[in-house]
Parts: sequence; C-alpha cells; structure tokens
Amino acid sequence: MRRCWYVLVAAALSGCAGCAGRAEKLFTIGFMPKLTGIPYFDACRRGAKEAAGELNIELKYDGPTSADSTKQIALLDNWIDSGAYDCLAVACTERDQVSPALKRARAAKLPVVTYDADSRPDARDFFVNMASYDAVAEAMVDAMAEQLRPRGTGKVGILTSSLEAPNQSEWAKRMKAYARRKYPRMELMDERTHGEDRDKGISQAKAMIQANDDLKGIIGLTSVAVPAAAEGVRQEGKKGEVKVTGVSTPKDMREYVKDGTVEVFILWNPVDLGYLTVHVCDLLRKGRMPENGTIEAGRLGKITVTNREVLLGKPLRFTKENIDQYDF
Amino acid sequence: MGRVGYWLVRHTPWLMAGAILALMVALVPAFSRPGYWLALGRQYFAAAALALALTPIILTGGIDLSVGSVTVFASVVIGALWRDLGLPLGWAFAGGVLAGLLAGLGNGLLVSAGVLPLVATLATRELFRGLAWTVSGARPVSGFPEGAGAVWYGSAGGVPVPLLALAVLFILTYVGVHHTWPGRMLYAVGDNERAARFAGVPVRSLQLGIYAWSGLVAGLCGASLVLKYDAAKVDAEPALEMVAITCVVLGGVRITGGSGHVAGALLGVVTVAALWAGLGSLASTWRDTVTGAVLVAVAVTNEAGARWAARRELVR
Repeated sequence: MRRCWYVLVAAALSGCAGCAGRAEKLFTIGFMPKLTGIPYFDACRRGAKEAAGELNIELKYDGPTSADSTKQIALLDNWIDSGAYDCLAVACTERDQVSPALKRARAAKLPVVTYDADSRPDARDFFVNMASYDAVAEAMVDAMAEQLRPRGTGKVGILTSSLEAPNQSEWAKRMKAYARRKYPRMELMDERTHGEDRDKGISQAKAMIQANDDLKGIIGLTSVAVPAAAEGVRQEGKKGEVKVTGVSTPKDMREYVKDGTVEVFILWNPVDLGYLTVHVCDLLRKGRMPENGTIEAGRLGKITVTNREVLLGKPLRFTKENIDQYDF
Repeated sequence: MGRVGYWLVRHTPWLMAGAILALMVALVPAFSRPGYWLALGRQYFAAAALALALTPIILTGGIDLSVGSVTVFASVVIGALWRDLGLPLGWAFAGGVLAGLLAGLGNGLLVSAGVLPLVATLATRELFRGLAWTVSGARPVSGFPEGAGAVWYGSAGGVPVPLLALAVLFILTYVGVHHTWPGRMLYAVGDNERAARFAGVPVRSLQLGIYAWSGLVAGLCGASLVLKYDAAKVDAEPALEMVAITCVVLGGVRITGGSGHVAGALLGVVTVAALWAGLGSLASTWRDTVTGAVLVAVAVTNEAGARWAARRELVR
C-alpha cells in the first residue's frame, strides 16, 4: 500500500507549488451569527455588507446551522487555524463555553469583536450592544403591562432560547426585578426554553397555556420565540385573551401583528447593528477605538463607547402602524 | 477496458483522495500553511480516532454504529462525575474513559454471542445516547478549569498534542492489524467467518477484543470533546459515527470485510478533513452533497474493482 503515500505526498507538493504567489488580499472580517438562516441575522449581515463595501473590507459570513455552542466553537477553531481572517465578529451562542475559543483567537493575534450577544469581557476586545439590558427588559415588561386588564395584573410566562444564552438570561433577570418593583401584581413565571427551534417553541407555548388557566400573557425573548408564542396562542384559540410580546423582527412578526394576535413588540435595528460592528472592526484595525469615549460610525454618526462596550441606541417599539416601514 | 482501466478502478480511493487534496490545496489559500494541516488533526481528532478504531471491526465484516453515542456518553460521564459527585478532574476523566471501555465490552459480548453487529450496535447506539441523557439530566456541564483546555490546544515541538495522540493510535492500529497474528485473523474472519471458525480462529475473543478497543477509543474521544468544547453536552456531534464510517469506506476498506488497509483509513480521514475544511470556506452548503457524491463514486468503483479482480483470478 505504498501507493497511497505517494499520492499523499504528490498532492501536497503539487498543491504547494500551485498556490505560491497570490495577489495581496484585502482586510478580511469573519462575521459569525449565532445561527444562519433566520431573518434577524440576515439583517445583521446586510448592514455588515454595506459597511464592508464603504470601507473596502472583505466580509466572510458563515455560522452554525443551529444555535449550538459546539458547532460555533468548531467553526471558530477552523477560522483561527486557517489564518485567512484579520478580525472576527461573533454573536455568541453561549457566553462561558464560547469564551475560551475567542481567547484562543486573541492569543493568535486576531482582534475579536462580539456583537448582539457578548462573551466574557476578557475574551473580546469590544462588544457592540444593541441597547442596554435594562432598556430592553423594561420595554418588554412595560409593553406587556399596558396590555393586561386590569393594567399590570396577571400571570405571564417567559419563552427563551436556553438558560445559558447571554442576552436572554440577562434580560430575564432584569425583567423579574423590574416587574417586582413596578408591577407587584404581575407574576412572571420561570422561563421555558425552545432552543431557537420554532416547532418546539409552539409546543412550549401551548403547554404553558394548557397548564395555566389564568395565564394572561407570554413574553418571548428571541426572534423565534415571539412568533412561536403567537402561533401557540392562535392554535389554542386564545387570541386576545393571552397577550404576546417580546423581541422579534418585523419580518417574523408581520403576520401576527396584522391579524391582531400581537399588538406591540420590541426591537432595535439589526441592519444598523451589523453596520456598526464592521465599523468597530475597522476602527480597531486603525488603532482608533477608545475604551471610553465616542466614535464616528459612517451614516450612524456619533456612537458612545463605555468600558469597551459600544452602544447602538434605544430599543424601538413596533406596532400595526409602523411595521411596514421596516424590511428586515 | 484493459490494463489501464483496471488500474484506475482498483485505485479509485487513492486517485479520488489525490484529486480532492490537489483541488483543495489549489483553491483554498489556508492549505498553503503547514500549520493549518497540523491543526486539522485537532479539529478532526474524534472522527479520525474512531475511523482507526472502526477499521479492524469493518475488516471482520462487522460494524460499530454506537461509537458516536459512546463518545458522547463518556463525555457526559466525565461531566457528571466532576460536577455532581465532586471527583477531581483527573479521576473524572479516568471514569469517563472506563465507561467507554465498558460500553465497548458490552457491544463485544453481544456480537460474540451471535447478534448481528449491525443490529447489536444500532440498539446500543440508542441505549448509550439515552443513558447520556439520563446521566446528565439534560443539563450541559461547563466551566471546567482552564488548564484542561490548554493541554488540548497546546503543542509539543510544534506539533499539536491531539495530532501526536493520533499518531500513536495510528501506529498501534497499523502494527496490530498488519504485523500481528490476530491482525491477520481479522481478514480471515472478514473473508469467511465460518471457515475461519473451523480453521481454529478464536472468533469470539477476537470480536470481544476489537469492540472493547473501539469502546476505549470512543471513551478517549469523549474526553477530547470535553477538552475541546469546555463542556459536556448530550447533543454534541450528532453524527460522529457516520463521519468515521465515511472515512473508513473512502479509504477503500471494504464494508463487507476481508479487504482494506489501515493506511487507507487514514487516507480517508485526510480526504474527508480536506474536503470539509475546504468546502467550509468555499461553499459550506455543498459539504454534505459533495461528500455523498464522492462516497457513491468510491463505493461503486470499489465494488466493481473487487468483482473484476475476482473474475481475473478465476480466468487465470
């Protein structure tokens, strides 16, 4: 079986000969979502592409096919080993498990910017946050409270992706504290998880409705959870009785807002989030990224940076009136 | 087709591997860095190790579909021993590898008792996934001490640690299969199990040994997953056994047993790793399609080649 060694060696040699002397390549950003194929991250990608075009940067977009930290780590390892990237922008599926992989990237002299969902602070250079955790958590609880009759009263379920998801766990913690303070008669139940899977989300929402006769509302913490909860409410025939709100995208929610299952939901602009992330990568490469201060980010203008955290802005409220103005 | 056609058909796995490697090296810039080749050994450690462990089994005409489940089971056992029972990390790892060995012994007992390997390991594949769910309580274990991951991602003399482990495993398998008498008996069993039995080959102990060995290797792979992902998760690596079998078959080992080479299995591993790493940066959605197509081509030509060879021998 000596032949197989010949083939191995010959292939390696011919390959090395073939690839000597390539054209100079552009600054390349590896842009990784939590998972590919959902409208939210497609919108982030669109903004990132726009900024990459402005700044003459090459953008490689790829990610796990499901929100699974092992898949994300495997892909990150491959990106780090390949040496084909100059900067990584990552939305972390899980904070603690993905952080060691990001640290390895930094050890290999790759700057790391997290966006949408943060890692441990020592595993990245900067985090691009869409809105402060408090602002989003309070906006969701307020949106639910104003729909409940009597106002701010009743049992409300929470549907989240996983108990370890960075943003969702921070929001849930703050939502409970805020509701206890501001709406003492609102009872927030423990989170149920759907693993970013729509069908599982629907069955969890239905289970919640069936198990709690006095359920008044469901707050979904991901762009998949809110439409899943709305679909669950619709299938159980509880439209109007069980209110649904949370964070999701206009594309995911249009149908449910139009037919009145959902009156209001919360989001920031994910296109701008992707756009800002690439600008942060670019400023980082130019050495013009302050740990505290303000930066100039293309069409977004002045943006504040606090303690290596870049803040996009305030959350937006989407209703029947304004949903058609947004196409992500 | 004549001599040239015959040669082409007989050597398809190597030609295919050579073509894929050359193509990937030409198209993907990362392959021009030797460091990337070495790093692939770390990325594909579990698949490679399991492919090497499966080779002796497939040579006897058997199969072990449970290796992926045993791997995950072992990793979850490590997590549970460490988190729930509070054992020191070293003991937890030893416990996980031992769990893998015991699982392999269980497979070996079933097969040597006469249950078809396909059926036996299809059953234990479900069994060990299920046990992994039970043991972990479906809660992933994470937050292992940082030093553990550093070993896995470290290197000795410029060579990544996992690649060294793979080299040791390869040498053990190579010597075991091609330079010992039990190794030669693998081929005898794969050719004709009944005849081998009548000729005095200890078929049962042989089977017990190779299935236990694959369990042990799966246990080590489980430990590697914990180090790699800094977590013990039940849903990690859902199709590991299929990747490993793909590697073995791509390397020209006959799935019905009796023919093949350990170096071929290694070649299959390199082919799959290069194919996947390359397609990952070229067109990640095409990965499984291309792998499937290559596998079909190799399977068809392998079979054709074997029949051709048999006919030529008859004519002569």
